[in-house]
Amino acid sequence: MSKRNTITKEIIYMGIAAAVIFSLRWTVPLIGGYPELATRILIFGILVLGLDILVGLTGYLSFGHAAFWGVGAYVCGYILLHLTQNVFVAMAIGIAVVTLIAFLLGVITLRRHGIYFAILTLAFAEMFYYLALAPLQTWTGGDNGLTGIRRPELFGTELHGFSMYIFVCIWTLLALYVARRIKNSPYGLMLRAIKSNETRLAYTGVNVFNYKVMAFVISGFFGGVAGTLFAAYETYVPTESLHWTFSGEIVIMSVIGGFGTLVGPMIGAGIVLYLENVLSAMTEQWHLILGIIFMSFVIFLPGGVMSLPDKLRKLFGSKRDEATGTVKQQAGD
Amino acid sequence: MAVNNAELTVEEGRAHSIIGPNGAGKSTFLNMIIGSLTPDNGTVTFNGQSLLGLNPHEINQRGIVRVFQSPAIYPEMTVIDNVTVATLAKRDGTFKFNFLELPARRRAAVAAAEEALTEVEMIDKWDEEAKNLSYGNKRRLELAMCLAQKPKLLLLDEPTAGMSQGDTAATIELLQKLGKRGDMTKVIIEHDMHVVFTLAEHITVLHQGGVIADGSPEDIKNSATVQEAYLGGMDE
Repeated sequence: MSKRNTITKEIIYMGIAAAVIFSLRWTVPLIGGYPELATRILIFGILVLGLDILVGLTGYLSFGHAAFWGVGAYVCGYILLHLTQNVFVAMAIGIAVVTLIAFLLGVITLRRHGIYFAILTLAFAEMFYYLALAPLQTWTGGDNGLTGIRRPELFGTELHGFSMYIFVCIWTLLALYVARRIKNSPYGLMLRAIKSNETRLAYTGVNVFNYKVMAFVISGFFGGVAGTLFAAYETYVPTESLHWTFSGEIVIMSVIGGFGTLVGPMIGAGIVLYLENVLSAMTEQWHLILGIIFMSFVIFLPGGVMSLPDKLRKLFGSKRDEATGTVKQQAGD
Repeated sequence: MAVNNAELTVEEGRAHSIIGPNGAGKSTFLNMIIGSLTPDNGTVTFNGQSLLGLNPHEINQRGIVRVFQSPAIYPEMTVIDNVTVATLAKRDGTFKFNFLELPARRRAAVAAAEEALTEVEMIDKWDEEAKNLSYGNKRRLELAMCLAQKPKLLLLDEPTAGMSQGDTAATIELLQKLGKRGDMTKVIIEHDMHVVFTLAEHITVLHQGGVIADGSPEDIKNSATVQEAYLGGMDE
């Protein structure tokens, strides 16, 4: 494919993504949602993008992303509450703290694989949860969460409602663009090789551990961006932000969307948040219904929503082959 | 003790085969060269430098590349991507954080991958998923991945294991073609004596962890010690 074709394709792709992202505030109400739901979907979209780089590309399932989200939210929220309303300062410090934590956690947890790695990440996330609940409660608000956060300001203007939505849209588009650049880079190719055959890659001259740690750091960075945006948007940080069940929820979003596709988990986040909104208005048992929907995806569509076109192609392709076979047989009779 | 008092010297540019009955210590020997195992005593030297204590990826960067007993490839990736990983590893070293590099900047690495695929006659399958390849083609792919790194020393661990007669003949032909390059040393562990005597210029025989014979294929064929170790003697 020529260089010009590749650039054109990318521009078209990002153009479509921008159109979908920036119009979400008006399209979500058309299907029974509310405008602010669009902002939440986009913020979660950034979080699941980060998870997909670690799980979908590199093949390391983490149950600790609540730690990145929660720490980012608490640090940003605390700064907005006590130090400054400058959104860039609050976000930059929050993201920097999360990135450092991601590096330290990555170096420790990535010495293990598979279930042991997953359990280690879960354990660290739980550690942060209990730290926020008790020892650090004067800073975090304990089980009340961090309340009364002041609205963030951008160049002297308060961000809320529509202005906050546009701010989040820009971050989402930037996050998607960077995630795609990572996936298509030589670094992204190495991550896919780690997922496919880590041992072979080591014998090909690659320091696999360093690549995995940086994937964890990038993933944490995205989580930090999402968490800080959440605090700025919500002006409240619940303690549940750090609970391991929150980590499980974003894994569910990614499975429904389709691991490894980047945009799939973002769609999954939209589906889960939309269903939570709609179902919770209909019945108190919405968790049960959401669970059944998740199980259905795992059983019937394990590749998520993004694998649907391929499945349909195979389904209709095989039916066409059967019909052709019948016609040929009749012609031969 | 899998290997005991075994000494092996390999001449640059030659095809050297290590043979021996099951349990002789061949794979253990190979694993000590490649860095998977650390010897309790002794040295492993390559071009005058010790390899002891180095990680597998560091040993690879010194120019030593391994072909595994079962073809070790990246099944979910395309053939061209499989080999491009190898050429990028050669280009970028053990680690490079080029997470924003555009695809256009790796044209040279992709071209080198295409060259390696052409050498093993698999360029027509460049966009196939590696997991869909036949066993013989998976071996060819793995050879392309190794050749793409322009190794100084190629270690082949039973390259024809589990292959049909046709695939074995094709692999021998390919390895013979590679053998004409004087710039690459090959160490081949094999059970198939036809492969050994077709490819090897020098043979070392291991038995119960030690070297019992070392010499030209003719010397080994005629060695009574070797024939005794291989119950009932060897037939070519």
